[in-house]
Amino acid sequence: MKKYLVLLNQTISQFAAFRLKILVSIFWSFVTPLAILMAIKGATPNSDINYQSLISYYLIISLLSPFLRSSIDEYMSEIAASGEVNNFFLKPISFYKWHLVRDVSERIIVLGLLLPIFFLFASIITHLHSLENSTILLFILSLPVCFLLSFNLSFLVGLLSFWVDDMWAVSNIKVVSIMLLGGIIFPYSFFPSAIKNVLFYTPFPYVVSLPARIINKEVNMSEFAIAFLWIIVLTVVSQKLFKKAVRNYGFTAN
Amino acid sequence: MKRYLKIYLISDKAYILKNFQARLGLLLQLTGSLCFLFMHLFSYSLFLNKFKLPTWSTSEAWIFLATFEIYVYSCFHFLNRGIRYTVRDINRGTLDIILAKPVNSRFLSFWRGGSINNLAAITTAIITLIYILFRHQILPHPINILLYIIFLATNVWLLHCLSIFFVVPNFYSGNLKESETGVFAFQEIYKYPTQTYDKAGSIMNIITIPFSLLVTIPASIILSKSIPTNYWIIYLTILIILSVFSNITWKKGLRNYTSAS
Repeated sequence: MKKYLVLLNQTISQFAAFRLKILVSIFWSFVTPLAILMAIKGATPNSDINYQSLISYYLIISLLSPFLRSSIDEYMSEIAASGEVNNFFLKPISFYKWHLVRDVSERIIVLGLLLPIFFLFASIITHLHSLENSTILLFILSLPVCFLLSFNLSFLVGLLSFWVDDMWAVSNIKVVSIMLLGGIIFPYSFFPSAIKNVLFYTPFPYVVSLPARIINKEVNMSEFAIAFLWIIVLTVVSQKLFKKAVRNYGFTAN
Repeated sequence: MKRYLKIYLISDKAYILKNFQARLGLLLQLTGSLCFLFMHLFSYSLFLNKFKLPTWSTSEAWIFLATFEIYVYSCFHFLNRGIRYTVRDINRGTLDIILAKPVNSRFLSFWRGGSINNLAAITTAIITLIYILFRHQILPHPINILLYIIFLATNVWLLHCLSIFFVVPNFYSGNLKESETGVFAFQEIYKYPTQTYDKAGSIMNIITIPFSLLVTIPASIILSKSIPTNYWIIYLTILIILSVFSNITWKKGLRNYTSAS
């Protein structure tokens, strides 16, 4: 445990050195939701649209997206391509836990940068002032659930870099799936009910949009159970795949 | 001009042939690229189910989306590799190789050929556009088609000019990997016509209107829709400003470049 705490401390300092980089990625996460909000505001709705709840939904999504969306697959593909992965096979440290600690430390830095923006928004959006304590508690509880799900999904995708040389396409598919099916581009109220019903059994609704839906009171407890189930499934699958990946791994320096 | 075209076509052909050699990679890249195309199509249909765009009928909105797809993938095809490799070269200190060559450094840095997956996506988007035009019996005049292509090409140039402002900070700060994707991060903005943002009337229009014109102008041309004079003024102003200042910014950035690593 101690070695992971040391690692956490080290990687926090490492990420803290790249604050500007993280700030830029936070800024990017606001562009898409804000553009959609502007388009929605300018377009004529065919049916009743609650514009206030859409604003709070998109603002929470923009804030949570850089905090919850893990991009550990990109890092894994980098170290697999460069051969740095070799170092892990010699060290008495778990590959999975090492990446989890690394991702957690990045989240800590992101959280530190996001908190002032979050409080600013919370003071602006009146919709958030009347939240019940149970909703706030559920919101807070949902954050680690979403993060673990996002991390495990990314870790699983990252393991493919042991087989595939150029990973951007696989990462693209992951990003598109999370953006479209995860409710980042449009909330689930925009989806046809048939698609929506199927989607709730997939991991995507629990990666980023779960906390925003908790705030809008659109979540029932069974969704938490599905999210937990997906965390267990993805963790088990990634552990098994990792063993196969190591057997398959080969690196020739160029 | 002929010389530059030859250089570009050589690198373009080389990358495309390389794509064909790695078949599994090609298959994955095609899937990854078409996945984004599908995402735009699906999300747009979700949007059009719920909303009507001001001054754009549903069929016109689909032509707008096809234009958006052609434009976005053209930008990816022509600009993406150049931006990524230039950022990498600046940070690694390997830009010297380009600077030593007797060809314009900006051209060699940013125009480094495309890839087959983006070409496939452009082709799919063109087929979609032709299908929608025929389905709604819209037959554009040949001059409109020519102007459509000219404006799409001009707008790819505009995005290239804008990308310089994202890449140049690497000369000063170093390792700004996020600058690679910066210019493409705004693509959701030009997925909706300028009139929509105009009607929304927000302070954000300072950003949304100029960006949305990149697709609104060619899409309006192919549909023979009138474009308000104020949109033309904004467009031409941005075209001049970006073309002039991107060159100055690039040259200033180059003066700050050191290859020490």
